[in-house]
Amino acid sequence: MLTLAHYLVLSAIIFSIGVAGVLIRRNLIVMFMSLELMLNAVNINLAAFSSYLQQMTGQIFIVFVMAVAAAEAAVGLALFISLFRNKQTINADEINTMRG
Amino acid sequence: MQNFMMNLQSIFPEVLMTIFGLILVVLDVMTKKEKKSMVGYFGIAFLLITALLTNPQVGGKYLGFNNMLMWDNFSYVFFVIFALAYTLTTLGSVEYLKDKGILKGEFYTIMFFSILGMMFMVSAFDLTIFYVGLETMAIAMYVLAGFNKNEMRSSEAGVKYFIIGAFSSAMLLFGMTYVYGATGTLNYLQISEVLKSGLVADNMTVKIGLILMLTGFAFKISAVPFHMWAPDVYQGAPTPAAGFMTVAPKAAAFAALIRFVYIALEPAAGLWVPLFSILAVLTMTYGNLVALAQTNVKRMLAYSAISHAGYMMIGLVAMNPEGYRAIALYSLIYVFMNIGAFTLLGILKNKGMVEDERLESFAGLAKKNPLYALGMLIFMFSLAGIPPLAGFIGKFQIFMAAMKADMIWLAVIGALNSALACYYYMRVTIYMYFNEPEYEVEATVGRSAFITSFIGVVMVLFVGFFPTAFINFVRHLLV
Repeated sequence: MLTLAHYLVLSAIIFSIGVAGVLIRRNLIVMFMSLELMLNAVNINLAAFSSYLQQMTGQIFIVFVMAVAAAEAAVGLALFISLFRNKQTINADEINTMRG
Repeated sequence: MQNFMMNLQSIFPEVLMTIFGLILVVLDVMTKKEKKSMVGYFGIAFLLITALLTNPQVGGKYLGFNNMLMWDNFSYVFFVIFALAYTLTTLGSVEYLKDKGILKGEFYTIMFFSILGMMFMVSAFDLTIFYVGLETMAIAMYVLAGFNKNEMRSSEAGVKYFIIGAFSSAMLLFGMTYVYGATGTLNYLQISEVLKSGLVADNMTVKIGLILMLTGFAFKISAVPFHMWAPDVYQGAPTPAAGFMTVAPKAAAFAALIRFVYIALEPAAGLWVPLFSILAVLTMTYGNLVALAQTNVKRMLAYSAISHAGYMMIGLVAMNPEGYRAIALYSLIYVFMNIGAFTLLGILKNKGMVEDERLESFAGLAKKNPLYALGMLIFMFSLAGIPPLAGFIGKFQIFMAAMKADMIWLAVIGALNSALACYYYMRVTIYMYFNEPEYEVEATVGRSAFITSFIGVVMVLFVGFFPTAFINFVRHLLV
């Protein structure tokens, strides 16, 4: 039998993988994928709580999160492309033209 | 039926702004390529119409959609602040954008829609609405930061802002889910009731959720140690966009934070007041200390923006109405002085080998272009908080709020910090007035930049000498 705790642990693991991915990986696309992982962990959490509390609010929130994630993906990938056109790289370590 | 009217009144300003924004998109297609600034001017007219039609008067409260959306004086004052930021940025940006070859209607349309997002953030009484507003604003800001696609730095700023912004949003969201799970609601009023009832006061889930949420907020207001994106983003973004980004999104994030902590988290004040007091001290001190070492004026202003966020946080932790009124006044004053300074910075062109915004570019400007130097001097003095200019009034109100809350130590640290800040603001004026020019520098103040900086200077002086009118503007605010 799956309980609320199972889902919470799962989403915490996925969220941690996402955070670690953003902090450790240096390829912008992979970092972006990790960000999506974090958002999906949020969705799992919301769905689990929503079903546990017998409420619709959480599930409605999921729809918003997914819509926003899609919009963010569109803008983010466009920004990566414009960066790539300027510098031929999407390695996060190499984008360091500004240093105080 | 009465319910329906209440709903309509609460969302009317946002609906109006959406319609106007869509009209702007159409206007963008209809204007000629070299006259795209018309889009921005129409945007100003639309904002003026919205501001005139939606004034809720003192004490007016329209809470609609099952307590999800509020239009009151607080939302209105912050809307006016965003509208002023848009107006000044639009007026001041025309020459800069033309010069860089990026005078496009999108610049104004995106800025307009970002204001819509900020309005939802400020009006939200529910975390769902707040999140959608936040992302509307943030996504627009990523585009603005990377708006100059031909320039490496702008793209870099856009990408950095995007990664960090999305990261902090995800953190905020993850915190929200825990708060939702523990309290069973996303509504500010209901969260407050659940917290007050004490059922979940010592609940770890709520605590973890709130800490994650406040961390997300701290990223958005660029509080130290969550500030590392801010200098790079503000330095790389096109100068007018950077001016807008240091002012409006920060004011929106503060307003949303005020709503959230004063309404929903009021019973949990013991948790977040110490946290934010520490963050305020760190933010002020770190921002000022690092700004001292900067030789690029744009980057220096970016660090100064961080330290100003620190001053505003003092008003937040004061936990009294004076505190958030002072934040509103400070944001209003900050619009005039910071966008003014960024506009003047944007028209400076160094013909030598160094970057336009280097400190050396300012050397000897007073002889060559006395009006430019005088304008910059007034903005710098105001940012430093020297009486009787506007910046002093803003800081004074903030410190008064802290005194009233018996947080004298915080006010003292703030005052010491603004003394420290004088050094790097003064350095710019010293370069302008006392140093000999090293490079050939051009600072042609065009018509639109002149109007913006003129409005900025007049308002900075006006607020400084007659603060009562502006203090009255925010005096009746209630969250």
